Amino acid sequence: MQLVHNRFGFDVINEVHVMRYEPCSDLIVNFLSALSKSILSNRESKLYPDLVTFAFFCRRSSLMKIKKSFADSHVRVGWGRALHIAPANVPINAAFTFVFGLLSGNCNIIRLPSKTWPQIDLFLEIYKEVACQNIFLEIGKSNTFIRTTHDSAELLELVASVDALVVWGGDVTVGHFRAMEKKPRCVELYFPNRVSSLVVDAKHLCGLNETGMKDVVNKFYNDTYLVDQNACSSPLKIGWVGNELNISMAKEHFFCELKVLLSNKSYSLDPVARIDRYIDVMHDVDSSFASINLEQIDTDIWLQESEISTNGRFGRYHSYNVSSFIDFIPHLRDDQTLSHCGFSSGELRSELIGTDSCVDRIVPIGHALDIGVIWDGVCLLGRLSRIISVD
Amino acid sequence: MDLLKNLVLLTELHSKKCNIYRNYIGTIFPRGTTITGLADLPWIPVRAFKEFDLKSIADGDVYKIMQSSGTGGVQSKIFLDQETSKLQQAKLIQVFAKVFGGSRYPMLVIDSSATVKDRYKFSARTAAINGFTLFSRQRAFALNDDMSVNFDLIDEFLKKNSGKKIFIFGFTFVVWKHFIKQLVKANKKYDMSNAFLLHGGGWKKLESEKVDNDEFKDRIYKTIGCENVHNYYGMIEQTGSIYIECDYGNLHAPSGADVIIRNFQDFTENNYGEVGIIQILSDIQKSYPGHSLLTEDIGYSLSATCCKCGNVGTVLKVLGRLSRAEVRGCSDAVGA
Repeated sequence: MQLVHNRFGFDVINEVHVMRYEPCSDLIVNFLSALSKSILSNRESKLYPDLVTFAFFCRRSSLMKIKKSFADSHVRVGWGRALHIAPANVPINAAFTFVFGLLSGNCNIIRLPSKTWPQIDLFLEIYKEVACQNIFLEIGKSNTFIRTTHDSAELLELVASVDALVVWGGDVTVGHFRAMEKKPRCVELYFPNRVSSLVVDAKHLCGLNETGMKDVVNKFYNDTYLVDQNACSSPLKIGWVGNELNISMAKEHFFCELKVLLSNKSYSLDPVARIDRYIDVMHDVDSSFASINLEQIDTDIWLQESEISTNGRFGRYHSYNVSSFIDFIPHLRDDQTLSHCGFSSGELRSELIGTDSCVDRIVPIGHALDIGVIWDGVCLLGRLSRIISVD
Repeated sequence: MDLLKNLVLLTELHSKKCNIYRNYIGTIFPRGTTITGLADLPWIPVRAFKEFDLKSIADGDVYKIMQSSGTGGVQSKIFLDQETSKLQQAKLIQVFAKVFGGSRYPMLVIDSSATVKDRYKFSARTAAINGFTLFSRQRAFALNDDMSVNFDLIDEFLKKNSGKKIFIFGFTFVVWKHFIKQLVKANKKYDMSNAFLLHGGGWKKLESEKVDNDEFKDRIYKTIGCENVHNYYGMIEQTGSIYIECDYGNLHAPSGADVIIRNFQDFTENNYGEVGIIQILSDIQKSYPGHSLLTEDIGYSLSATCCKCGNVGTVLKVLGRLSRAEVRGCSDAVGA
């Protein structure tokens, strides 16, 4: 098998040593913590907040927390060789998926998207330095990052040879990889397209002072505009809970602050994305056979009252006024992440259990994009490791 | 202003006849907006013709469907009835005559006959070549099917038409890559000083070669001796209403048409000279809602009075196309 791209001097994938470690073993934790330190001490890293977030995730204390919460009475090891198909447009997820595979005890091959990103180049550079240290050479030899041409024979062969496959991408990518030939015992994990929502307690919002409102709006920005509202976990729908008066006051205050924030941050969308937004509206009116109540609050804040669920993206939201959270639940059927403002996660979870909603993540506003070892309802460490049972 | 009045009438017509258009306009441009100038008129993205069947005529009245291959192979579909088809032709004749006079000329097409023969590969090129054939007395294709230069045919064509004014037509990149560059390579020169050359379709495919209009003209003069070279800007979505380069090097809006430049940020109207997104207006699109279109081209406009040629149409300067930057967020890895 030919390796199309490898920065680490390990030329041929077949030579990658297959190791099966215990999840969160000392070697792995030591390695990741060294990687974290190297990233955080690198001056250039500070240019990339996503890389810094990743480094924080890999700190020893954070890993020990994960290890503790994952510990059970079973003895586990990784499946063996895991192939990860990293998403094309969330650069840092290539690093995260590698860490999930490694923490689970696997040796990993990460297929990077063909587009290069400066933070990924920097990550690879730092990774190489750490992985080449004598104490971590074993990890360096058993993990590799590759780029392959799309659907190359090498990629198909690789998919057919691994013990675990993790695919991040949209529905098309997922369908594509599901259809490929694999080992009969290959463990497969897919992360297809999802949509997400935000639920807001209007009364809570009305009670906030200016600083409080600024904080909420800033968190909202981080969940949405930071990625052009284009991540699976960025809210597309907003449910405003409360009486009419509170809702209208809350909205006014909220969007007024949001406008200021977008202008302060000089938020700018690609003009083609702005044109996409018009085309999206056309798709909506086409499927609803009617005009839609659309409020263009600001250049990049569009609020739409409709039941149609084409993808909200690029600053277009579906807005629902409801008198209680229970009335918002029917709109959450296929959602991945429910972020909230003015509620508690536990309270919302209790309301959701027993309904037909598919929400598998409930987080406070500002945390919609945080990625963790539990994603899309799946514990990655559990799925990417197996139990050796003993009597 | 007649144009504004005509365009308001067209907006009303299409709102009545085309459901998607009506519902879209009703959503984006709420009722009650008073229209006092061209910039107030509702518009649709030109890309909409790639994603929707937009027509304002009954199925039985469809006389012709024009399709263009676009980026990614998705085609624009333009529905014409006989009336709009005739209006397009009349407009083209009017615009052409203004620059080149109203007669018909021996036409040398810088392309291969295969381009127009293959019905399944109907493209903007096919449409343009066939459209401009209106002005031909006889038509010859200068390129072989493999896009190499057919020297024998050109020799014969020039011999047969010696002393006559010749109309040369081709797509900008085809003229450059498959004709002029090949002539230079073969060290071949022609005397076509008696000809005028009209070319269009955009400069995008020549970006890597760093050829601008001046260099283009200069090379043409040096290889075929033709000084009368005119670029045009137009698209299949507004066939007929083309912007032809005048003798002073400016593209002018034809009569019954105009151009608005919108800024990249909030799509409001720009002043003369400010670069933005090109919106084209034309008053002959009756069978489909294509009278007010936001393109994905970048440029700026100037008052017609800036040009000495006397044409009263707004001057349009086309600078290129919007590029699709990498979108942030999760998306398909396929094609990566």
